[in-house]
Amino acid sequence: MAIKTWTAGEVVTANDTNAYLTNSGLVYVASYTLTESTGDLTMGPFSSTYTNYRVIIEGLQSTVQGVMGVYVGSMSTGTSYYSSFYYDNANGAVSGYIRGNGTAYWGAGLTEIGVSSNYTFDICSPQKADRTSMMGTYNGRTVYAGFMGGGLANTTQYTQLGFFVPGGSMTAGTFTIYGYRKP
Amino acid sequence: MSMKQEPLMKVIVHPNGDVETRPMNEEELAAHAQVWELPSDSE
Repeated sequence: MAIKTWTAGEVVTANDTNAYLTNSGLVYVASYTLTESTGDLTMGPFSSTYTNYRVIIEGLQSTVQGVMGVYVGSMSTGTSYYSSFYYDNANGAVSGYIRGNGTAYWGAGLTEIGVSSNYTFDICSPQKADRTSMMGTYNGRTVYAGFMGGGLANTTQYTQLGFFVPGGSMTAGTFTIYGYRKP
Repeated sequence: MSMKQEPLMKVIVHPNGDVETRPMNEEELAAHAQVWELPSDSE
């Protein structure tokens, strides 16, 4: 259904309201702001209500220059994650890819010590009996930017989403998750 | 003299909004230790 503009004096019915809500876009699901140094944050946002999700990590700071690690389900030493992200230093001197080929998590960009980095990506089909994947962009480690993508080689249905910086801790950041409303 | 190291903490946000915090267990620490090679700013 297309976007509708209501006119002055027009009666808005429950049917109209429900129809346009049903066809609206992102719906807030959950958010958490770190309050202490954290080795791992696990949230439980996935349900059958939505098939696809948008994740925004705002103001992420870490104790090491590292990788923003993302996983679904439980944090483990599995080898089912496949991902690649680009890193490009704005000075033009450093660029390339970091690949995870059969790892325990997806790499979602670079992190910095005491300086905020930001990430946004979609998670597709985490709660569906199909492969889960992620794709998005980031600005991290102060002067780096890049895009990312990854898949998971199973069809497990997940309810949890996790974040960590391998080899370090997260000291600041807000993690917000939206669902793509479906008709 | 060795310094006591603080345990890495795991924060769990449940679907109902409740927040649980506990030390990471052995398997979680093993995954956490899987660090990837990173670029040097001067490479």
